[in-house]
This record gives sequence, C-alpha cells and structure tokens, in this order.
Amino acid sequence: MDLAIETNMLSKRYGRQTAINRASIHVKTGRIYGLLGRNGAGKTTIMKMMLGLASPTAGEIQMFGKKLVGNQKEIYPRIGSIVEVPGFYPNLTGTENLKVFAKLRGMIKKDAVKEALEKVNLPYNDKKKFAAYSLGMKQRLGIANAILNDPELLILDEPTNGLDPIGIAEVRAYLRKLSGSYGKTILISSHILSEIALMADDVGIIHEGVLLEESSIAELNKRNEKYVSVEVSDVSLAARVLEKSVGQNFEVVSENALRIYGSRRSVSDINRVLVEAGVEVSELIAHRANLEDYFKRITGGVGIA
Amino acid sequence: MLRAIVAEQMKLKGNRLLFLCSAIALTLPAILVVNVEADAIGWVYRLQFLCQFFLYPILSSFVITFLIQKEYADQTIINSLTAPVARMTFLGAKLAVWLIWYLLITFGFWVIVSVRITLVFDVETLLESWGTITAMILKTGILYFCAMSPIAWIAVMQRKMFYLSLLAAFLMSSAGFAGLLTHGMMGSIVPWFAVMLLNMPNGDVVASVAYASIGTCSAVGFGLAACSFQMQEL
Ligand SMILES: Nc1ncnc2c1ncn2[C@@H]1O[C@H](COP(=O)(O)OP(=O)(O)OP(=O)(O)O)[C@@H](O)[C@H]1O
Ligand SMILES: [Mg+2]
Repeated sequence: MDLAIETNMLSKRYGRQTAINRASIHVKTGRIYGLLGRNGAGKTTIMKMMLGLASPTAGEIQMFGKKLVGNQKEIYPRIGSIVEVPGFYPNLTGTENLKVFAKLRGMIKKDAVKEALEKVNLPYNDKKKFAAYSLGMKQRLGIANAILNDPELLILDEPTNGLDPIGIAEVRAYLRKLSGSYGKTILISSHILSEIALMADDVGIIHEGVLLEESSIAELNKRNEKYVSVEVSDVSLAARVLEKSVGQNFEVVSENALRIYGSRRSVSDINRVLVEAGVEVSELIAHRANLEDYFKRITGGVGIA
Repeated sequence: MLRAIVAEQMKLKGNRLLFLCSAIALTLPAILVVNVEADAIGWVYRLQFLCQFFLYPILSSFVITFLIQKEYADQTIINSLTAPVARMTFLGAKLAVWLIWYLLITFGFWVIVSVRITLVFDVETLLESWGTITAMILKTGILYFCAMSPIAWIAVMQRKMFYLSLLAAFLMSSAGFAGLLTHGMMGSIVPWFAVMLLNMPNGDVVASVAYASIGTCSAVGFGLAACSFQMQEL
C-alpha cells in the first residue's frame, strides 16, 4: 500500500533530552492514523518535524513518496494541519482570519472560506472576533483552516481538544467521511484512547519518544483478544514456572495474581503446569482484554487516559 | 511576497497600536514648540533631533516588535508557516511593512516640517532650503532604519517577549545622543554614532567609514534576523 508519510529512524533531541527516539512511522494513503501517547510523549514534536516547524536531529521523513528535504515547496501545499492550539488573529473575525490564510496560500477557489466554515458549523461573515470565540469554536476554526485548500493529507494535533462530546462525535464523523468518501489521509494525535479506537484505522503508540507499537486497530483487537488471569499462593514461584512454559508473555499484577497474554495454551493446560510445579491455583479465568489494558502493559504500567 | 504583504495588511485591521504609534509620530512634530532663533535649517535640525533621532526609533521598534511578537504570542506563526509560506517570505513581508511604515512616517514628517516652515518663516525660506531639508530628512530616515536593523533580529529571537527589542531601541537611540560627544574615527565606526554625526551640519566624521559601518550594521542585523528565523524551532 502507498505511504503518505514515512519516517525513518526519526530522532529529535532538545539539549540533553531525547524527545523522539528513532521513530519509524508509516501512514498509509487514504487511511486514518492515530498517534496515541500521553502528555509529553512526543506527538506534537513528530508533527512539527513533519511540517518543517522543527528540524530532526537525525533520521528522515518522506511524504507522498518523496524526501521532505528539498521538496517542501511541492509537498506542503498538499497538507492541511493543526498544531497544538488553533492560532488565529484575535482582532479579526473567523471569516477574516480564514481569508488571511487563504491569501497566504494563494488560493483561487472563491467559496473556499465559506465552504470550510459551513463544514465545521461556523457562521460565515459574522461579526464575532476570534478573541471572543469559545474554545470549541476556536478548535472548529482550526479544522476549517486545515481543510481550507482541500488537502490530500491532514496532520491534526489533538483537534478535538476542548470540544464537547457532541462536537467530538461530529468531528469524528466528519473526518471518517473525509477519509472514507474522499480518500483523504489523516494523521491525528490524541491522548484519548477511546477516541483513536473509534476513529482510526491504524494506530501508533508513542511513549517517552519511542514508538512502541504500530499496527491496525483491527489487528490490535485480534491480537489482544485474550488473557488468562491466575490467582496463586506463591507468585514468584508461579512466575518462574510460567517463564519456562509460556515465555515472557505474562505479568504480575498483585502479590497473588498474574496475567498471561496471548498464550496458545489452554486454560487447563496452564493450570496443570502450575499445579505440577507445586503452585496452588485458587482461580483461573480467561478474559477478553481491552485496548486499555494492552496500552497499560506496553507502556510499562503507566497506561493511557 | 506581494501576497504575504497584502495578508499583513489584512491582519492590521482594527489595530490600535499601529494607529497610536502613527498618531504620536505625526502629532508631535506638528505641535512641538521649537525656538526660532536659528535659520530654517537649524530649526529643522532641532525638530529632527526629537523626532527622527529619538521618537521614531522608539516608535518604529514598537511597530516591528509588535508585528513579530504577536505572531508568536497568538501562535499564528504556525498557521502562517504551514499555509505554507516560506520563512523568508514571511519575515520579508514583516520587514517590508516596517519599512513602509517608516517611510510613510518620514514622509509625513517632511510634509509637516515643510508646512510649519512656511508658517514659522515664509514660503521663500521654504523654497530656498527645501532641497537641503528634504535631503536631511530622507538621509536620516534611511540611515536610521538601516542602523535599527538589529532590532529585527532581537524581535525574532525574543519570540513572545517584547521588552528586549524595546530596550535595545532605547539603547541605540541613546547611543546616538552619546555619539554627539564623539568625533572623527570613533564617531564614524559605531553605526549609531555615525547616523547622528552624518546628519550634523559640519559634523566631524569620516564619511566613508561612517557609511560603511551603517551598511555593515544593516547587513549584519537583517542577515542575523534572516538566519535565526530560518533555523528557529517553533
Ligand atoms: N522547544 C522545546 N524545548 C525543549 N523541550 C521540548 C521542546 N518542545 C518539546 N519538548 C519536550 O519534548 C517532549 C515531547 O513534547 P511534545 O510536545 O511533543 O509532547 P506531546 O506528546 O505533544 O504532549 P501533549 O499531549 O502534552 O501535547 C516533552 O518532554 C517536552 O518537554
Ligand atoms: Mg502536543
């Protein structure tokens, strides 16, 4: 499948701090890619490097199959974006703001500003200054600005920040439509798992600057279908036994409980192995794991909102 | 580039600070009382002192600081650059607006001075000295703009802050007055001294060195502004 964005061992250091550590991201054309990570994980930093607002310390970015360096003039007009907060001129109305950016883009389409505002449910040509906008309206104007020139690729940094649940659902439906009906590629970041799970096709999980996982939501769901929770008398003994039989694929969750993930062994099989080694098993249940537990595990216990 | 300048103009709608700066810049030379003991040239020279050497540098630093600082403070710089606009175009448009404002104010000053000379003296005096006065005002305006260029660099570097560039403008303008105490090579090699001395009737200044130092200053100032902005992390 074609890649709209590909980064190769992308790194960014700020002084001695490594904000992004060798991230290789693959955003497929026509799909929604959710970049998921907690505050400070490095989502914004990655997007800034893609948009030329920050320069990578190491690594490479390709967009639409071309190296970013040297092709910015050709690549950037095909992208619409929101980075961090929606930045607009407070002394101008929403319409005037979009006209400024339309002018900067050199857009020719006459109704573009009006159409973009309609799409996000903001009034055209009203008198309200941006300074007097509510947070949700500001965010909508940010989205309107991002779609102003009908770009092929949208890079949206937490675009639903500050929207109410209905607003979030509207934006989600709209982005799904953009990708589903118009074939747009969308890279969206969020720290809210459920939002990404509902909207994205693919997901990249970033934690402390490291891309821990990259796969499709469908695949993730499949892979994390099951885990087995075991309650035992002696966790450390059980852990030693399990290490030999199921490998590293388990974790100790309390002083007498463990979870075994993705094992092909049956519940009774696990029970037998433990009992034979002298571990008293008081409970053994097969669960369907949810994504949240999965993230908690791969981020080393800190989890995600 | 033209598009970016037009966009700059659209952004200025309802902008109070620019209006206020322009109003002050044009009102003061119109109402300042200057003693009429000298000839017309001397009279203009005194008015220039207050306006072109003190007021305009400070006010113009407000203008460029405001033009740049607000983009950082409101985060509009991100939407502008990702529009996309080349960084040099973006900065160029800002500097162009700054220069246009400066030239308009200088022109306004020239008009006001001309009108006042006819009132304070008479039309003949104006016609006699018009060439000299025009040259004086224009030369000072352009040279001072060049000498002020490091302000643009500071404005870029300070991002959301604003007092650094204002302080720098104040220091540069003060340096100009301190320059009155110098002469010769010393007065020519420091650009802000040189601007002052070059304008002084019979100022003791090595003209070639003075022009060279002002030229270097503007090349360095605008060059640094361009380089730092090009490489800046946002
Ligand atoms: N200009 C900078 N100078 C120094 N450190 C920075 C800078 N920008 C970001 N960082 C650091 O890089 C790391 C990643 O920050 P980033 O803004 O990318 O996180 P994020 O995932 O977008 O977080 P959030 O969800 O809070 O927006 C943080 O530790 C941050 O402190
Ligand atoms: Mg962020």
